[in-house]
Amino acid sequence: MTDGELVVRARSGETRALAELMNRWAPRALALCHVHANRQAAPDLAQESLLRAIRNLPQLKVPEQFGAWLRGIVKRVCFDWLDSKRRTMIPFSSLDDHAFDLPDVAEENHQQEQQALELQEACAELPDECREVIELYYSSKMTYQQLGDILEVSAATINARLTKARTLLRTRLMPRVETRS
Amino acid sequence: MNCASIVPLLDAWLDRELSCEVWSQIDQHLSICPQCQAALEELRRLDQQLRTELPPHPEEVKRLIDSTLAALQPVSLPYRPRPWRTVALVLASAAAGFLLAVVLLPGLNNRTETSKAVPVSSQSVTDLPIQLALAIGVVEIEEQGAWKPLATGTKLQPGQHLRTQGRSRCELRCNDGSEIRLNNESEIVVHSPRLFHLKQGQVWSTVAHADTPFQIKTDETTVTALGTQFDLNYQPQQTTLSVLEGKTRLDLGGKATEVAAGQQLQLDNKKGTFDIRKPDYALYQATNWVNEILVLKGRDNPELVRRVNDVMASIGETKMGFLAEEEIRTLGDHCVVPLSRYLQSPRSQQQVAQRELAARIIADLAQPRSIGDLIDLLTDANPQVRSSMARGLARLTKQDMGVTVQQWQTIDAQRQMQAQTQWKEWWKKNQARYPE
Repeated sequence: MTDGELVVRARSGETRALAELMNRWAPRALALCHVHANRQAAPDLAQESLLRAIRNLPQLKVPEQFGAWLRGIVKRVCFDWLDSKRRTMIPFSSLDDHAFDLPDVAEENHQQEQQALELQEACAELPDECREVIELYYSSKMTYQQLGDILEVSAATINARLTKARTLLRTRLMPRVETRS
Repeated sequence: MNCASIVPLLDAWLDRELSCEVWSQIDQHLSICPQCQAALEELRRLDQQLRTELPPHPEEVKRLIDSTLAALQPVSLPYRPRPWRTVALVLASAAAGFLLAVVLLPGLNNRTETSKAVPVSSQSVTDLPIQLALAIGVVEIEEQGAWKPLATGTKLQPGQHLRTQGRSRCELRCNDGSEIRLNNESEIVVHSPRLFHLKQGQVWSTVAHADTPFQIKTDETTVTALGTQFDLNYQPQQTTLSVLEGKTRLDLGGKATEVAAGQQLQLDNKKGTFDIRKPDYALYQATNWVNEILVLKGRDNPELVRRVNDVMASIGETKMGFLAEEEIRTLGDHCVVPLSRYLQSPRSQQQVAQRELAARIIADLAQPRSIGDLIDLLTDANPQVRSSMARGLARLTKQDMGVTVQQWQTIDAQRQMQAQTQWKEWWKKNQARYPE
């Protein structure tokens, strides 16, 4: 079933259609939040974006364009969040003891974790347009055309960005991987 | 099909995004060509790694779906208007002024002086593999309660105090390649090449990868890094940590937080409160005090080149944002380099109309020395930018490599890359015929 059909059914109150739409789009919303905010904040921001999308579903003019529309919502939510963070000072002592797992030296020796970290870091340093394509592409199976519909560019542009992203990642990652192994 | 035309198609081949005909042509070629097989193998390894490590964890996705469907209750995040744009512009113009002065005006390069003092103590077995590599103005070291000038090239010993004065800056270099730069009015204690205590002031670190963590302590906090670039500014009221590459951890009173590339943490030293932002200006510009040291390393230093390109891009951005088209055009050829850097920079990514206008101006005004930049921009994502670059190239070279200005708007990514490769080869052969 296409996104458009799911949207139409979800609007008419069909919960199964809504759940299917979520299954399809939750991983992609998370991927977009990785790009436009960061990994730690992504789950909360993705939830906020999906909630806004569901509540505003009646206002979506072209149901087939759900993807591009949701991306717009994600970008706004992430932007607002980054903006609000600029002003909010929080007490350091309020942090959880293990709010995140930054690898300590012993852990660093685990090659696999190190590789995953390096990969995420390398992705974070890609130009935004490349990063968005690569995070989305690997968040769930999509064709270049489907990605193009979400990002409102042609399939050829997706191809070019994906190729560029992988080339940049290879240049950055491969020498290190090889010297270690 | 030959290797040159196949390599750019390997991504699409792997993603099964080619027509059956092209797909099987490549398949045939791969069966006989070890080089292309090797290229594909490298790509496949990366693809596999991305597939394993990039997607959100299924548990995380499940939690997200469950919580979203359960929480169809109003949720809102605080919103505040953005005050950063003006700050960014001020920083951009300040950085631009300084860097252009030191980089473009050769006479200024010699104005810096290095410390001429002699080593304060005879070299001993306790010397650390770290030395004072570069100095602007006088850098001092504490010896028996008194501050004495320190010569460049001197190796440091554990526990030594080093300080810069109002107009001096310096760079320490470790044998592992790590670099530590001190801004004006800074004082640091060197415990080992991986452990420093910043008493006051500002320090920039480019940290080489190693198993031992690299740490800079202040009286309140510890910053830990494992292969990264960051800037730590420690003032009486406030500590600012800007991370340009990689990731760091900031520890305070038994708690820790992480600061990633592109982020800046500000800590109120007295209250112990902090925030982390992602400024919308490049952090290169927030850390432009290191430029003066970089200039000592020569004009081809890659770090300097990267910074100059970013400053050029910000000048291009400012021009596009504040000047009318006619005003920009009256600058003639002088505006072409900043506008090209602007088009190449992620800064301009969202500014479609301004990018297209910049490309048209470049096409009209570029001189032969910009041909390399024009070729580089031929594969831009925007069709108007591509065709403007082709128009500029046709004007300067009377060539089109078989793709007309119009066609540049419609040809696909593979064809773009092929034509760009042809241009690059042509330029390599013919560059000498054109004036610098």
